[in-house]
Amino acid sequence: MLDVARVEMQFGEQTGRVVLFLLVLGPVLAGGWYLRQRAATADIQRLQRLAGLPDPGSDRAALESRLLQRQSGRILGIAALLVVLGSVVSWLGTAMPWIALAVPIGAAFGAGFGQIHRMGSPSGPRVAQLRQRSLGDYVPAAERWLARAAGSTPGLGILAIGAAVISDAPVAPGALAGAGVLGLAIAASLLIRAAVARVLAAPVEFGSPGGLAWAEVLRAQMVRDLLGSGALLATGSTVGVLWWLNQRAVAPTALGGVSLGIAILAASLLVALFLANLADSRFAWVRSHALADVPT
Amino acid sequence: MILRVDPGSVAPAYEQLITQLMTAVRSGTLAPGTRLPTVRQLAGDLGLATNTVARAYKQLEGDGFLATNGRNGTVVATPRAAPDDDEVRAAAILFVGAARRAGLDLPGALGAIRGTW
Repeated sequence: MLDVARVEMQFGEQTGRVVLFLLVLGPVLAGGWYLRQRAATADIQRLQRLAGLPDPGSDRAALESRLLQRQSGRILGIAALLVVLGSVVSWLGTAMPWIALAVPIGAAFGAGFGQIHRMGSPSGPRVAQLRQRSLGDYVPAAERWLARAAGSTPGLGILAIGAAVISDAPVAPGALAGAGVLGLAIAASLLIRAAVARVLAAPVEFGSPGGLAWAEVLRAQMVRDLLGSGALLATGSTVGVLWWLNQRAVAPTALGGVSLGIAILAASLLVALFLANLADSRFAWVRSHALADVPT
Repeated sequence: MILRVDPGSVAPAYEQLITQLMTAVRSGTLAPGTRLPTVRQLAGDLGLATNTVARAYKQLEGDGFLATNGRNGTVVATPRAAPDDDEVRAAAILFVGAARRAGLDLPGALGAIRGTW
């Protein structure tokens, strides 16, 4: 008969570290969940100060609800990605620091997707701008270009792996699995592109001209969250997979030099995107484009 | 330009849309060639049925204020020459006076004309 007292659970060293990491971060996320209403209120003040937006007035409740969704999405996004990346890291036995990618990607991804959910329409008068919405109204050209370029890095990774396999050069074991992971990153990028289109098509759900200004700034923020998460996911997965393959190689492979080049390119694109985003942290672009006809 | 539709107004949403668009085209706020949002986008933003917005666009297209331009979607049409008919101007002045005395606002007066047309 099984002696329950003598049963020992044995984790691999790596799995144990992942579980420990998740156990430490769990209470932090729980605290964030508990304080998300306060974070949403602080978000309103931050955006009002940064973008010089008017008082939301009658749209305040709807706005708080929208920003609460953003905060909830952010925490759920981090939690979901921690579990996914934790499993991958544990399964592959790769280095722990990769799990830290879950925090920025999960936050941006969750914040963007959290807000896509429709809130319903206000019952009173409604306002709308008489202009067709396009991505160019919300994100500066440099940011759009950098996000697109960053999104193409998994493709470069697959090409590099494919070229190495076809040329019969020595390739680390697991190269095809790595290419598969990059394929998943491309699929995620396509999903993000569809989400951006959906954000642009989503109706304004506030009733006053002031609310309209808020709606467009939130839309710009949502689009940037999604583009940023896509860029992080694409570059992070590319660098991660190529680094993993190089670690597994028993001898120098054809991928070594190429993957270093791709990794440097991906990291540079990400840094440039971050700087471009920082340069427009006061939402000047959206105010001069999407809100050109709206008094703010 | 900002459009505003009040569901509590006596004028139907369709009339409110037509009046605001017509005024904007006439005053030059909407220049010829300006691209308008899609029916679906505007209907979503204003909380209206797509049929309501489509009907307003169609009416304005019929009146020569808007034009459908293939892939460009709906754009503001090049304005026709203003009516040069003294008789029409005189009748308009009389009509506006009568409408004001009857307590009609602009959408109401336009609705009366449209009904008679």
